[in-house]
Amino acid sequence: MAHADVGRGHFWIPLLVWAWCSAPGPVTAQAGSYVGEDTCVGCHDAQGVSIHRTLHGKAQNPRTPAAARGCETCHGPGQAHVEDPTKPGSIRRFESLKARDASAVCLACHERGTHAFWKGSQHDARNLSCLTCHSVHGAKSSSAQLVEVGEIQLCARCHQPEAMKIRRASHMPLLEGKMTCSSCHNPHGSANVRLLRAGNWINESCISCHAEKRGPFLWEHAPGRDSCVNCHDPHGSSNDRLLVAKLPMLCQRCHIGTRHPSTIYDYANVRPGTPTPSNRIYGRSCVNCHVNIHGSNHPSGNAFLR
Amino acid sequence: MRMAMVMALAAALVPAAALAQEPAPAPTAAANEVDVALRGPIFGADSDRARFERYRDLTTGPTLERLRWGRETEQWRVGVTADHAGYRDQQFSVSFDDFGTVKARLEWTQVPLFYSQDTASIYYAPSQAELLIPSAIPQQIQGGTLRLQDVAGTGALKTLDLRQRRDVLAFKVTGAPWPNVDASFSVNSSHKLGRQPWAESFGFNVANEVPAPLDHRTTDVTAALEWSNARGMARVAWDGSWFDNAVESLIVDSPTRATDSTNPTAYVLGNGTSRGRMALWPDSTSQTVSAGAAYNLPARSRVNGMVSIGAWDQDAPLLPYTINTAIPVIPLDRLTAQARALVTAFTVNLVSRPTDATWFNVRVRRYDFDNRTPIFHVTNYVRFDQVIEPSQLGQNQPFGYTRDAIDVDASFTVLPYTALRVGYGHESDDRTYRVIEASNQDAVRASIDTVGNPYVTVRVGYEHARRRGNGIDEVALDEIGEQVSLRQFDISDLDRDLVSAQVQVTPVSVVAFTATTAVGRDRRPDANFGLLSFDTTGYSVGVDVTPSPSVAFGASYGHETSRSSQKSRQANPGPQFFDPTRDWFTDMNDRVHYATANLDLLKLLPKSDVRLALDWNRSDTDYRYVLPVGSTLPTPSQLPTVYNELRRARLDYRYTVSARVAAGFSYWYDAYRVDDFALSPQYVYGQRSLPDGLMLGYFLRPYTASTLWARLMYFW
Repeated sequence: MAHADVGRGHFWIPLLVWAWCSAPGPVTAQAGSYVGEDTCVGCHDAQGVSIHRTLHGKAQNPRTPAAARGCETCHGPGQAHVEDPTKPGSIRRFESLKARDASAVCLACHERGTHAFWKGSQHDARNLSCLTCHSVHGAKSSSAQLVEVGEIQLCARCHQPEAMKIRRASHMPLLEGKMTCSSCHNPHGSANVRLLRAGNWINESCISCHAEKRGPFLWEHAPGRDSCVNCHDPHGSSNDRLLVAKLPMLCQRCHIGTRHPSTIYDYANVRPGTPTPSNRIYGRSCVNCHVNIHGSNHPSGNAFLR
Repeated sequence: MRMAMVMALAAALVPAAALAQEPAPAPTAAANEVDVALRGPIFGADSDRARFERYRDLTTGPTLERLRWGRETEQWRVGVTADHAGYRDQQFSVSFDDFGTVKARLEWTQVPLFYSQDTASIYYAPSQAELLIPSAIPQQIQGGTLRLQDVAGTGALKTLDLRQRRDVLAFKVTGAPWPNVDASFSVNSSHKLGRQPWAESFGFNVANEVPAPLDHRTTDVTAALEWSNARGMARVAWDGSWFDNAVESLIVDSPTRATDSTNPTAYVLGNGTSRGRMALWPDSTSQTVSAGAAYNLPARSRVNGMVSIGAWDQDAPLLPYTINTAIPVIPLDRLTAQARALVTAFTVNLVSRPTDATWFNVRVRRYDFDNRTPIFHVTNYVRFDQVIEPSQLGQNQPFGYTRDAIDVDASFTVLPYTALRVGYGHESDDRTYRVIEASNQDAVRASIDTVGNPYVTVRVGYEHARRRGNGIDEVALDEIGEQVSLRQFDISDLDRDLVSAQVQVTPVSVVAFTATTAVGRDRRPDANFGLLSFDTTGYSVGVDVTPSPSVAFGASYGHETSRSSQKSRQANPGPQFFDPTRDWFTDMNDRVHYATANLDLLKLLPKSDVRLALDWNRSDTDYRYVLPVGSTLPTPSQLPTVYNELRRARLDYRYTVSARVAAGFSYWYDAYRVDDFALSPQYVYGQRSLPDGLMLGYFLRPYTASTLWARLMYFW
């Protein structure tokens, strides 16, 4: 009885498997004959020149299009196109392909290394293709063949809030040319969250440069161990140290116990010449004392004072 | 890392007008280039040079601004680069690529961090691990003949440059020993040296800011082997990381006490210890092995995954509870930290595109931070090196957590160029030593993306998330003296809605309009105290016009607001703690404006390239204290609005003298305006020595700077 019930409710599984297995396969080259690169550049001279300025054109590398069938490695066999260039579908034109079809051509070679997690990535999910960011023949950047002159400009096309934040008073050295978006993110997909390049969690990405905060410590500050972005905005902030809010207000979001954590620190504590200054608000506020806030290794460091 | 450095280099090469930063020349067909300049900034009165040069060095003088040299054949390519040679932000690289066989890159980069040129301190450093006070100041304060707030007036504060620098040496080699196999090996060594604002306090009444030493090195080594073909990929890797700190503790003299003592009033100025000792970053290591694989399945499907197992260790010797000689030695529970965490992670992803119009993805993730640090028992400890006090908890709390997540998404190409995506995500978190030890978050999301259409790009997304906690330990909150209805915002119950939209219209190929908006709403329904709500709203508009290859113009404007509300109760122990008339709120309201513009005129005038870029942003933030009706608290005097404003202009002019020679100039205008009640010198922090603190004076101050370059470029 029980066994029969189990089987009866799942008749759709083999149907689903059959449908899945019989679905179309990867993008393949169109049927037809290859004509060779010399024929292609007879009309497309500029593209022929541009491709050989890039790594795609270096036939010494057996993995390049140049080492395979040249232009037709990516664009497919060209015989039909040569015979009737006006005929739709006579050759693979990337601008007319669906996003994932276009990417499939690139992924035929670029589905390894840092590109191994493209499929299923956030960018794949949002219908982006390789051509959204890269141009094989008309790149504007000096490396990575980007469609913008630089990486920051490219990412800013869609990520305006983050691109604006890097211009705030408290920022990482992106505008100074010492970092860029891909210092932290891998736009091609990652095993980490938020397309982060290093590690497997937000903090592992941060400590790949800030290893001093790795620990573990004798005394841990739990929200910091949990996620750096609880307190910091890595893209930029109006507050010192990339903090998401000024101190002591940020700390008072979690610490409201008796005496000083729950006290209002107002203008009377900071105004010039005040007789009642408070080291809980002026200067670096809470970390004037709780300086080891990322974790302490001192036996008396339970409150991160030592 | 290599990719990151390549990208970083790419950013450095970007034309100045577009990036609004370095005065780089336009790309040229020539592969080799040397750019020398004579440059220097001119500052307005009372300008903060350190903040202007925070991550760069613009010292007046000649500079090898940029060198690019390369040779290339069909078989190999070699390249050498140099930037800002001889200055604190210099950068050099050498690369070699034998196409398809081996490629290697060696890079050395310096990243300065200039805090302040006019911080001041009474300390001197006989060694890296000590900051001592030579004068009689502690004796006078202990004796009652000098007040802490008068220290600045004694002339004892000596001005010092507060800066650090990160030197990074990175090497990576990648080879293809077999047709389908890549092997890579990289070493990255990063050394931080200098001083940074720090603090070693001696009680509630003596905040004490000090220039703490930095001298530590992180060495990361990665070795990886990857095999792949048309069917799939397999990869194994080892990552090792060693953090070594030359200064693991810091002894600091108390400015208020010359001899050691302890008594229940040790927090009062002039009482307590003569010096304290603090733990700085301890040495640590992490070792991780990982394996990844991918396999292409039928029906345009692929499964990929990664598993990673790592151990983080930190076993630095533990310092004594205090170096105050008036306090008897308290035995340590153990002599070294013995801190260890086992970190395991895996991700499995199944993605399928069974038809042209459908796409499915399932992702399962686990991240486990298993903190194996043994319990460290503490009966009594020493607060501020001043007084023995009983430990509230009696032990350390080796916090750990496990996150399990599953995401299911489906995308349907409903119209040409247009995909509709719907998705669901669930995450369950288990934590140790938190007041909410488990929580579950469910999220639903949908988006529409029109991509690839030459005239219009539209992206609209919506997400709703709901997080609920289990096992709330209000007793634990009570034990640490918090209100039991406080909910710490990072783990509290949460209802979140996010909407984002972007439209780009390109009516003709030379004009593009862009508009974006994003709205977020966070509510914490279970929180009576703590962060209650956080709302954000932002929009931006922009236009880019390229009427001809020699003319380009662009402008954009953006505005963001964020508002939050949080609740507290001002109370001393006793009845006040339970008195709701002592409740108060902080309402934050942050408004930010951005504007950028650029104009490029390339060869519009004979042999001349002109690039102009403007960049402005301003932030105003209010923190308003709000008392509910019936409050018994005194009416607070509101804090002034915090604002900062950055104005930047970049003008580059280049005249092409010949095919090989160009000359030109660059002009930068930079202005920073700031008003911050906590850090600006016009407020009480500007006094440096106060009744309850001795400060370095790491101020937020404005600057106005004009920087000029005279440049000569040679191409070959």
